[in-house]
Amino acid sequence: MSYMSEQRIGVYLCECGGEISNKVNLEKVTDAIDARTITLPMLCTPEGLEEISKGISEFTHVVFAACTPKRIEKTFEDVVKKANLNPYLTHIVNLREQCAWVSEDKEKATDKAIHLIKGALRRIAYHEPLEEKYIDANPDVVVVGGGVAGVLAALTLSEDTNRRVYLIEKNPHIGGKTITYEDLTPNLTCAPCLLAPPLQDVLGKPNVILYTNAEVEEVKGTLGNFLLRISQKARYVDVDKCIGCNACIEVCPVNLPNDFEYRMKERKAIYFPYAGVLPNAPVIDWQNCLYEKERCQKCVESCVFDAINFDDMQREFDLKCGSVLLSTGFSTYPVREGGRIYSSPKFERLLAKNGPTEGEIVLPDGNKPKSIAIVHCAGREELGYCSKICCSVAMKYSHMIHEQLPDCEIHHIYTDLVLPEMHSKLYNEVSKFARFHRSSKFDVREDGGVTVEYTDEEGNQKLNVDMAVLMSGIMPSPELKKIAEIFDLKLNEYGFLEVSDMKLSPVETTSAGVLAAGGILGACSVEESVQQAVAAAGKVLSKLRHGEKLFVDPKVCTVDEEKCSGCKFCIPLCPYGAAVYEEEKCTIDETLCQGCGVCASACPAKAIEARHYTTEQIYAEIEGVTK
Amino acid sequence: MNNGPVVVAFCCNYCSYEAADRAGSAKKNYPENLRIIRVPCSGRVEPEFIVKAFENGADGVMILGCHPGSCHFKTGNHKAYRRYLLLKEILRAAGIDEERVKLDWVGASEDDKLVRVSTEFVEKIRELDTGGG
Ligand SMILES: Cc1cc2nc3c(=O)[nH]c(=O)nc-3n(C[C@H](O)[C@H](O)[C@H](O)COP(=O)(O)OP(=O)(O)OC[C@H]3O[C@@H](n4cnc5c(N)ncnc54)[C@H](O)[C@@H]3O)c2cc1C
Repeated sequence: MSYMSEQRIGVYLCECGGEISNKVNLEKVTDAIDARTITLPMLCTPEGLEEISKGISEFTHVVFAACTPKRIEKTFEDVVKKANLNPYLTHIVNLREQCAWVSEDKEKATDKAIHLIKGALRRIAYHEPLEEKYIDANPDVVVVGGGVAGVLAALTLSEDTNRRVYLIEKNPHIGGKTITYEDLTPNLTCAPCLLAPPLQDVLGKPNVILYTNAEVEEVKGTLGNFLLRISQKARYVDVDKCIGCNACIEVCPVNLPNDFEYRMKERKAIYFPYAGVLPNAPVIDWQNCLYEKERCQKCVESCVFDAINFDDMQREFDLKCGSVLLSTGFSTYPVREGGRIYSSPKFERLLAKNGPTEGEIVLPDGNKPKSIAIVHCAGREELGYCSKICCSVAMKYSHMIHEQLPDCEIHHIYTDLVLPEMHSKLYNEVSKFARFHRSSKFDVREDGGVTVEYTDEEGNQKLNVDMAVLMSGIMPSPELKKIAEIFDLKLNEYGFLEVSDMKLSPVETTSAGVLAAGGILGACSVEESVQQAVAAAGKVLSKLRHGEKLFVDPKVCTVDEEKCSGCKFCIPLCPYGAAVYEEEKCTIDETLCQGCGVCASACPAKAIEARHYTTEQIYAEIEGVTK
Repeated sequence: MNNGPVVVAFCCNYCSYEAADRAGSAKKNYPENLRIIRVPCSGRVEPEFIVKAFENGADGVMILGCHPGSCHFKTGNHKAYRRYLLLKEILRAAGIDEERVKLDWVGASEDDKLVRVSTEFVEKIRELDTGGG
């Protein structure tokens, strides 16, 4: 290579204030290697860096033999760039952490150092200048799931009015689970009073675009440039025209149990899942609507706003964004319910003023219960973990029952009480009237009334009550698998979404640019959901800044078209979907590639080059360190 | 000067290379015979790299990746493992004792493990060399 003959390679040796030079004989190193060497007491100090910048322009390639590249890479990169040398024409030898500090034998350490530097010298001869690229990034964000987490994230993001926020909600309304509750732990805050304002707010934001009845079907791209395929089911009611007057509902002849109310109440074929939902427009249940079968048009006739549209259709469309925030919530353990046995989510509806009984705690026969058992930990054994929020919710129920039915006996059957901080206040109050029975096992049966069998210190016990509430454990939503597949994300051992680092990146998923908040990550209270939502929004705002481009690492893989036989071997290997097949050749999208080099190692035609870790470079380093 | 066997260790940037740095920071010694080559991922290691190392006089080669499930690049280490099985065949054909190659998982915090596996491996290569292996 003629290119090589023009190379002038310089080696900077760092004594590291004796940390290296006491263990490695640097004079011997200088004698043993075939390149210009400059030994300095400390390369990373201002004086050291000054020396480097004075002398560096002499060289075409530079080796720094110093401490670990992980610590010093950026510092050297800056000096090198200032001297107008391409930073990829340098290499760092880890003489401190991986040589001087792991040896007590100066002779052997010196020999090792010489070989490591020889490896670098041989390798660097094959280094090529790489061009750093910056790409345009889309500032817009797609938020998936319009529960409390999604809505608060969308609101935070929308403060920046130059950014569009697309909110994708599967249901015909927003608000998630929390909007179905009456009061919230630990302070028994009124849930609709607390949540209606932010929900209204998000609907009114000009830069928040809400799609209800919608889901994500497909995703392409990565941080900065995502392309999402969205499918949206027909609602048959124009949300912009409808004012929520209910006229259509009154005339609809169809009656059906309302699943949103756990079938405790009926609804029409055109209906609101709950009273007061947002957006304040009903939805038509097409399967049960009589329009197709009998040409029934009662609702159309009743609507003076011309809001009903039977021609509405399922549609698919694309959204572009730079980041995605997932907030699709959790699920609850499916306990065996009965007429008198309630799961906790169903009991929430019994307590709700907009619920089937307008908040009255009544038995199916209309009578008021005289005794209620609240059974904790339903599903805990099967799930294999404590769901952490249910004890507090159980205290909330006790309090609310007692307020409404002061003479009603309340029993808690519990394993452990998990009531930290503020939540113990609620317990202190509840323990004045409710009875607590500690038991690790229980059985709940309906037999006219309800029998609860449990085992406490004194043996097997039987409790006859009028009603029982089972505190359903929190579990991953069954749909999470599909979402994880679409976004290529990992799930943790309990099946919730895995974060990139539980401690340091608690709202970042394992894919760049995809964040998560709320119940999708595990059991959490409303305040925790909101903390995560706002944190995730903050991450987006700090990453996708207007007018700033995203850095694309040049250390990625590229395909030599001449050599590529189009065998597609690399395509399934790429963990990022960066390798694609186009016009009979494989190509790699540089913005998606993360530079792992798995494809380069596997390409039968050796057509893929892992930049900065090329086969030639590694071969050369092997020669240097061994010979 | 004969310092004994030469062992080349391919260390992935995110786990085993980090573990080696931590061993250094904690001043935990291991044989000087180990020459670490930093690769982005154990999945970047081609079987030819190992053959190349032996051609150049290495006495042993280690490939140290992240634990299954914690690969920074999701599944690079699984691919390294699959390739390792293939590599053993290649080595057998080339008449190289397969015991001279070792694949292991070393997490970023496992500096002790790095020290242990590398020390044991260098010892083993020494035995193979003196025992005529
Ligand atoms: C019985 C019970 C009582 C509780 N009581 C309290 C309490 O008193 N105080 C308290 O602090 N916490 C309470 N919690 C916890 C509270 O419910 C959660 O903290 C909160 O719901 C989490 O909000 P989220 O937005 O993450 O999820 P969710 O509220 O579940 O919202 C998720 C949203 O995403 C939508 N969605 C789901 N899948 C998709 C998809 N594929 N595409 C698009 N959208 C999708 C859903 O339709 C929903 O609107 C209680 C929990 C339970 C089970």
